[in-house]
Order: sequence, then C-alpha cells, then structure tokens
Amino acid sequence: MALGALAHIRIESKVHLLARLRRVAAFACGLTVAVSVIFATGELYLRITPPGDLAEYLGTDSPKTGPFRSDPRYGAQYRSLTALSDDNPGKLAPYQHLFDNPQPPKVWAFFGSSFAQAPGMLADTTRRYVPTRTTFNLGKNEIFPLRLAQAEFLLDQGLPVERIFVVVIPLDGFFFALHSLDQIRVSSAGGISYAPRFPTVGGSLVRHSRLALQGWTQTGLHVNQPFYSVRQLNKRYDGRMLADFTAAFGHFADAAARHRVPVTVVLLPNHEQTTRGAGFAFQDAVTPVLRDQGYDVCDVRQEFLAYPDKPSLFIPDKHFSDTGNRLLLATVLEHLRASDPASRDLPDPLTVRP
Amino acid sequence: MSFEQKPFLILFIVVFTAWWIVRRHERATVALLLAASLLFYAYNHWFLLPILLAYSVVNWFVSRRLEHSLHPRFWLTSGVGFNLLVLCYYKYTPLLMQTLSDAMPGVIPPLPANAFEKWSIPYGISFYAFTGIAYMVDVFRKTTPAEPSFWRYTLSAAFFPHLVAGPILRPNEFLDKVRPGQLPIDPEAPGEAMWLIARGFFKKLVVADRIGIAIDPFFAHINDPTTAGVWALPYVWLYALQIYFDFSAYTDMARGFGMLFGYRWPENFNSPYFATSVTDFWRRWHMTLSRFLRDYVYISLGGNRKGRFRTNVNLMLTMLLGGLWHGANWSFLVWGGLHGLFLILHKQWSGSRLAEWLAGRTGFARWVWHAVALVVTFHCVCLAWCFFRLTVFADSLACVRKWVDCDPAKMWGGPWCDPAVWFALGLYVTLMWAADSCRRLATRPGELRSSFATGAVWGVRFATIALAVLIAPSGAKSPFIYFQF
Repeated sequence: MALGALAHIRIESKVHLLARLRRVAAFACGLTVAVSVIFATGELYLRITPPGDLAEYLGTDSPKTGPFRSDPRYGAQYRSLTALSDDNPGKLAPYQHLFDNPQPPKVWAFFGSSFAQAPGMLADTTRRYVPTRTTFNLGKNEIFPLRLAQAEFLLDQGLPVERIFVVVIPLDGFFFALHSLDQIRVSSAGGISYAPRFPTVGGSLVRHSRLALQGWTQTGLHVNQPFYSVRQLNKRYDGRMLADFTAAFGHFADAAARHRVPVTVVLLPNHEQTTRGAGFAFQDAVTPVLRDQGYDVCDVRQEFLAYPDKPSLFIPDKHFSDTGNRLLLATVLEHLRASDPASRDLPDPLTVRP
Repeated sequence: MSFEQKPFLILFIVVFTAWWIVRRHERATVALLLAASLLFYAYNHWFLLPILLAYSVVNWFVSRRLEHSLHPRFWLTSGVGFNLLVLCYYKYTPLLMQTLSDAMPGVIPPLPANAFEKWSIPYGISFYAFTGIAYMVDVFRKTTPAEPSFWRYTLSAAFFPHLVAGPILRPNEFLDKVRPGQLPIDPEAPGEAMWLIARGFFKKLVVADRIGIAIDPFFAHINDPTTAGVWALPYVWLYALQIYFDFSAYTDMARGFGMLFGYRWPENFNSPYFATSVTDFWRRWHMTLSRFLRDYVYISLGGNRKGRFRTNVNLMLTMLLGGLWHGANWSFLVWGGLHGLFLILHKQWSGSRLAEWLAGRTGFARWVWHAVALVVTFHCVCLAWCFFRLTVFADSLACVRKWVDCDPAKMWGGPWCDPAVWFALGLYVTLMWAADSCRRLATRPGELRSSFATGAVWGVRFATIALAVLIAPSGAKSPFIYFQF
C-alpha cells in the first residue's frame, strides 16, 4: 500500500517536473525568439540605412559619397580637378587664372587645419600683411593626410607656387591615433571611410555583423590606438603614429622635390603648451623627422612662450586671436628672412608683430 | 550623473544590491537611499550639495512649523519665498542683469558679452523647488501631515530617480511611502519596471539622440546663409519628436528605477501629439507639471471662479509662469504666452455653436474633424516649440518664417530626410508593437503559450536595452534636454 502510494507520488512528481520543464523550455524559446527577432531587426536597420557614425567604419562598403579615389600613399586622393573644385564650391575659382599662367605671380600656398584655413587665421593674416605674395588657400579643414594629398594634387595640376606652408598643430597628429594610413578607405561613391581595428576574439562576428560592428565602435576600441588620448599628445608621440606621420610627410617631400617647391612646416604650440606649461612631445618627435626629409621647419614655440600676455594670443575656442596670428606671421617672416635669400623683399616682421 | 552613463549603472547595481540586503531595516534603507541620492546629485558637482541640503532643511523646518504655529500663513510665505528666491537667483540673475543693463545703460554699466559665461544653474533646482512648494502648500492645506523625520523628508525630496527632471511628485505619491512602516520591501512590478527602463533607454539613445544629430546643425545655423531656402517645418516636427522622446525617456527610466525600489509614480506623458486641442495637449504633456500649475498657481489665482475675463487672465499668467519656469530667457516667456493664447482661444472656440456642431458629428465626418483638430493642435505646439528651441528671438522668428519662405528645390533634401532617423522611429514603433503583442499573448489561456509569451516579453525587454546600447550614436552622448531646466 505504502509502496503504491510512493510510486504514485513519484509518477505525479515526474509529470509535474516534466510539465515544469516544458514550461521552462517554452519560456526559453520565447526569450530566444524575441531576442533573435529584435537583433535581426536591428541588423536590418543598420544594413538598410547605416547611420553616419557607422558609415564611417564600413570601409569600401560605406554609402558615403565624395570626390576621392583610393591612394596607396595618403589613403585617398582627388579623382580630378573638377572633383576637387566641386568639393570646394567657389573656392578654387579665384585662383583659376594661376593655372597655365606663363608669368604667374609669387604664390604662397597654405595647407593645414583651421589654424591656417579659418577666417582670420594664418592664411588670411598673410593675405593682409604680405601684399607682395598671392596667398592661396581653400579655407577648408580636411583630414590630416588629405591636406598633403591635396597639396601634391594641386602641384601636379600645375599650380605655380613659390613656397608651400604646411601648418601643423599637435592635435593634427592625433589623426593617426584614430586611423593609420592603411586604415583609410574610399567607398565606391568616392567618400572617405575607415577600416576599424577588429577584436582578437569575435573579430569574425564584427566583420560580418553591422550590429556587432556598431557595438564594437561604442567601446572605442575600434580605433588605431585605443589607449592613446588627446591629452597624451603633449607627453609622447611615437610608434605607429609617428611612423604614419613619417610616411605621409615622406611621400609629400618626394612630390615637393619633384616640383622643386620649398616647403615650410610651421609647428604651432597649442593653448595648453603656451599658457599652462604643457610639454612639447609632439613637436620634439616630428621635428627631426621633418628635417631629415628636407623640410624647412619653423617651430614658433619660443616666441609664443616669451610673449608677455599669453591669454591674449587666443580666442575662447582656443584658436589664435588676431594678436596670436600676427605674432605667428611675424615669426614666420623672421624665419624666412633669416633662412631664405629670396625672401628679402618680405615686409619687416616688426610691422606685423603685435 | 545621468541614467545613461556608466557611473550611474555602477551606482545603481551597488545600491540595488545593498537595498535588497537591508530593505527590511527601515533606518538602514533610508540611510542607504539618501546617501546614494546625495552621491548621485553631487557626483562631479560637490558644490551643489549645500543648495539641495539647504532646501531640504528649510522645507522640513517650515512644514513642521506650519503644523504647530499660530501663524501658518507667515511660515508658508517664508518657505515658498525661500524656494522661489533661491530658484530665481540662480535661474534669472543673468537675464535680469542683462535686461536692466540694456534698458538703463546710464544706471548700470554695459555688461560684457561673456559676463555670465561661467554662471551655472544647479541642475534639477526647478524640480526640487516645486516639489518642496507642493509639500508645504499641502501641509498648509492640511491635506498631508508634516514629516517629523528630517532624513525621511530629505529622502523624499532628493531620491535619485526623480531628483533631476521629475516627475514632480505630490506628498501622497511618494513621501507617504517613506513614512515609518510604509517603506516598500519588494520591487513593484519588476517586469513593468524593466520595460519602462528599456523603453526609456531606446527612446533616448536611439531615437532622441539620432534626431538630435540630424537637426541640431540646422538650428545652430538657422539665421545664416548655409540654411537659406531650407524648409524649417520638418526640422520643427523632428524637434517636437526629439523633445518628447528625450523627456519621456527620462520619465520612463525614473519611473522604472523607482518601481525597482517599490515606488510607483504617476505617468508624465500620455501620447501628447495625439491631442486634439491645446487644452488636451496639456492634459497629456508633462502631466505632473500641468497638475502643479493647475493646483498651485491657476487655482490659487482664482481659477475659473471669477468670470470669463479673469479666467483668461489666470490662464495666461499660469502659462507665462510655466514658460519662465523652463528657463531664464524671454523666448520661454513667449513659448508660455503662445500656449496661454492657444488655451484662451480654445476656450472661446469650445463655447461656439460651430464647435458644438462639429463635436456632434459621427462616422467619417467625425474622423475627419478629429484629424483636422489633431493636425492643427500639433502645428500650434510646433509653432511654440520654435521659441523653446531657439532662445535668440531673431532665430525663432527666422525659423517661423522658414515654415513658408523656402526654396522648393531644397524642400525634400537635407539632414531631415536622413533615413537613419525615420528608420529609428520605425524601429521604435515596431518594438512597441512587439512588446504589446507579447504581453497580450502572455495573458491568453494555454500554459505553454503563456510561458512562451512570458519568455518573449522578457526577451523584448532585455533585447531592447541591448539594442539601444548597441545602435546608439557613438561618440559623446548628449545630456537630457530637461536637465537644463
């Protein structure tokens, strides 16, 4: 009797356990189906309309459009002069007369970040104070290696130039912390995109799933040097970043030599270096490289550090003020007058100095 | 600290685990939640802590005096005055000084453009000041007793989920639940709480921030040649959606986190853009603020008890104050004034024969009238948003002008057409539909079907949070819009 009851209880508990297992299995199935469907919907969303921040890392599959073609030296180069002109509407037209001019004026061409290109910065200041030269600049802040590619392209297209100025600030060097030269891609529609750095574990998933790629970019580990921050620029600049910097400037040095155009690389101090005593690791690292490649290097740090009213050299967004730009130009003019006999006709730097 | 930031996630996990351990010990629970709330508020802003504590001390002390003093009106005036004075000092000093300097150049020397550049408004001050005022008025009206414990009162005023951007709670909605013997010891509907948090994450990280990326450049350059000929209306539509998704996301998350600690707070939004009049809109938009303005401002001014003209004046004054509450800028006053005007116009319209005749329609005619009312209401609200989004008056006017003054060639292009934005909205609608379908399926009879659907409901909750984090725009996250108020 007791054994029978026990058996009955066992059977009942087995049935109960089975029913419970079936419920748990159904729950797990529901959970899996829901998660799968939602993730698939997310994947579909990123495949149909990849947002701009993802398109940046889709490499050649990126839907980004632009005027570029792939280039083994700088990562990207302009497809044609028309493409460059279309990308800089109205900016190239005022200089059109310089191309194919048998007796061109003396042209100074400026390439670099907003410190050279933005209204009121070095190119505009030069235009104001150096009337004996025609100042060329397109007024647009391109990505770092593209500035050199653009300069080479314009030389190849016949832009007559007496001297090229490449303006470099420490922040420019940070580009290579984000993307090395070999990570730059050009999409089929001509836009610049990047190949991300893939994880060692799960790299295949990130390669094949846009949802995983988007998640990977959220971690910040997808960039070239994920553990290098902007703040470190004043403390160290080396390794792959310096190698990319060396390679890009090396290619441009060859192009400049081919066209027999002297190039002055103007190394600017940033706000922290000028006003807060930060180190000059970036400038110290790139100066010997540039000198070895035959560039004329103009490092203006001493003049900025010696200026009595340092805050007046900057505007609130940490670009140079008019005072800062005049001090910069005066220093560049002094440097040229001291180093280049052909620059004797330049204005007296004292008339420019604030 | 903000809900979508990593430090908050760590704080929440630590606090929730500790709460789970000590939840049956009231004193320890109060101490834990209060310490967590103060840490949440003061994280990276330690200098703001004394302001929050001063509010708590004054409001607690005044409410105690209100109960026992022979001059409760004096104490109420003092308490409300303190709350408003500190609020006004922080929020309106720059505006006042700038206005006085412009109006009386001979008396006050002209202020430099960056005179108040470093002036910062303690975040959340508008919310905890209003919560404090509501508490003191309710104690004065004897609808709620004053809380004897300073710590419990401070916890109710500063509890981290609702501290910075509401909802604005009445004492019976929260304070009563931290009184002795009332502290919850279990989460309230954890599944619903998880869904609110998931929905909030998705609304903020995917929809609102994605819309922001598309429309912010347009508003930043509204008055310069780069936006010449651009049609502003779609950008204003998107802004209307952005502010709804951003603010309701915060409320969803606040309510969700509150529920995990056992507190259920009222809804703050009820599909506001489906309103068929501006009056209806204010019953659906920022409902806890509307309720506060109605109960503590509009009714205190006399409400609708003193004739039609005074009713209209009271409506306008209430909305102007509501506008000013949002920020120290005349454009917010215009925003409030426009809403006041729309409310008055709607009140007049509602009494007309035509309105009554239209309301009496049935079938298709009723549907058409409903659609027309919805579209008109939405555009009235959008018109007011122009003054809310752009605080420089000339920019707001330029935006309104560009509703009609645009280049037809530029109408159907530009960032507002970014498919990523519209697909993100579509994804949100799909997720809501999926969650709702699973929930309904889970309540149907059938053991296995119910288990499957319950699993799916939890799957939707977890996957929504994961998806929000994965497909959020990468880079710096933008703060919640209502943090600035």
